[in-house]
Amino acid sequence: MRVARIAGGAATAALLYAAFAIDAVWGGRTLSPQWALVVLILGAWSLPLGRGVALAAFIGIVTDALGAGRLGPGTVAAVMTTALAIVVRERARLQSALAVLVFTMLTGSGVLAGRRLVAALLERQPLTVASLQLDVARGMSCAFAASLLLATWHIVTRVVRSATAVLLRV
Amino acid sequence: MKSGALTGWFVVAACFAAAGVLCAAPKPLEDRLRGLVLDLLKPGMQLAVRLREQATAPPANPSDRGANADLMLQKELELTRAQLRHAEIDAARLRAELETLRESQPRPFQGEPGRPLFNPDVLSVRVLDPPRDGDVEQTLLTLSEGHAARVALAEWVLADEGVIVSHGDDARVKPDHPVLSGRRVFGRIASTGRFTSRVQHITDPGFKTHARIIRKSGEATIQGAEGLLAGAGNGRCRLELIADTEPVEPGDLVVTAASIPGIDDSLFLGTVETTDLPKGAAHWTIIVAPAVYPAEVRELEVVRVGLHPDRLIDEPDPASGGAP
Repeated sequence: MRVARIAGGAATAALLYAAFAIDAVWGGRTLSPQWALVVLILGAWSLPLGRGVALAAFIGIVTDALGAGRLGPGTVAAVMTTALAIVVRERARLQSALAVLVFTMLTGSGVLAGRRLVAALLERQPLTVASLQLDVARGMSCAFAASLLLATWHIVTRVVRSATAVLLRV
Repeated sequence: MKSGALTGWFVVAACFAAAGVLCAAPKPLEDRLRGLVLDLLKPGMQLAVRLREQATAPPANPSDRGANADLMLQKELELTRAQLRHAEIDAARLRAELETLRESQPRPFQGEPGRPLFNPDVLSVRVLDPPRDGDVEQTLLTLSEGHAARVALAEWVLADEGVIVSHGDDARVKPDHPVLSGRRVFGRIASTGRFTSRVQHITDPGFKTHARIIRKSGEATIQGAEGLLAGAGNGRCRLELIADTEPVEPGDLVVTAASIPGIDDSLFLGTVETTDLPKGAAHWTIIVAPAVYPAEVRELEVVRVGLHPDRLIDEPDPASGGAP
């Protein structure tokens, strides 16, 4: 069990590193998914409050460092949105497919739009509707990628479980 | 409340406090953290760039030889253009010096040119996050070298167009030194990590430098007015503080004006694209097209300025009893 946990942690760290590297080279300027944000959404859906928020804070700091603006706004937005998302998920016991879709969309858009909002407040820059719309669109793109990954995971675990059950019965 | 939930809320509070501290962090700390993150991500970014290049590379076919020849010709053309700019800038400088000599009475004493205190050398670096074609928003690029390779803050970064090496036919440059006059400026180093650095393109809204116009008057090339070149953020720059009495027109060259230690030559910043003089204004509104765009580059050259090796005092040799 301990070995499995260590292997899982290492795999998550490797995936996160790859997500950051890909985002640093490709991400943030198009509507293609930002993989660090996809990991954040997946963390918010599957982890408890403490671990989910710690992961979000780490992702926020790194993505702030990769961006062109100042450090901080992305971290604030990631921590606040993830904390809110996890509390809502736990209280409302979200489980259905529609809930997954709505949850990922709100979390993704919330992090990106929140970062712009905090940056505008801190640097006293004007906030345009067009930039917020772009953030919502990018957030939705990440949400679709995260939902697709969650659906794939769900299907794979179901298939493996049923296959194992059949094999054990035989 | 359960202890697990309490711990969760404690983590939320700690993360929120850390984010607040980051928001208030001073610029040097911010730069250090950014440098550290980019240093750690450098291997991954290099791998991602290589994969991207392999994915976007056109398939090999027999007409590749023609494409390579085109590329070679383009490189040669750029080199010739750089040499032409070098000659134009030099002609303008010599004309200005001649005017000064004619005006100054008595003629000033001119000694033998000595060894310069600073010595520039050029380091080729790779861009780790090259923007896509037509992307003018991304004006901060990550480079593959940091202060471990002596890349320092505010150093000039030039487009990679093949280094012109002096053969020593000019008194101003020493043999085997790179000729920087007329070379296209990409930008300046904005922050450095140990193994990576960030370059700010000249169209970035935070970029500002002292610039001079070089214009043509008939057959002659003349040094024009000096002003402040500032990035406009939309893929263009503005040349400010040029008085309405100064002649300026589209097509004029814009070069660096301030004397940079170790680089006495003028570097090429861009070309005047449009000029406008609003009614009643004391200064021209000049839009400058940059010499090179971020989407055009995959490799750049950092001009590192260090002390001239001949001007350094030799370390005393302990074996010879302290004699140098």
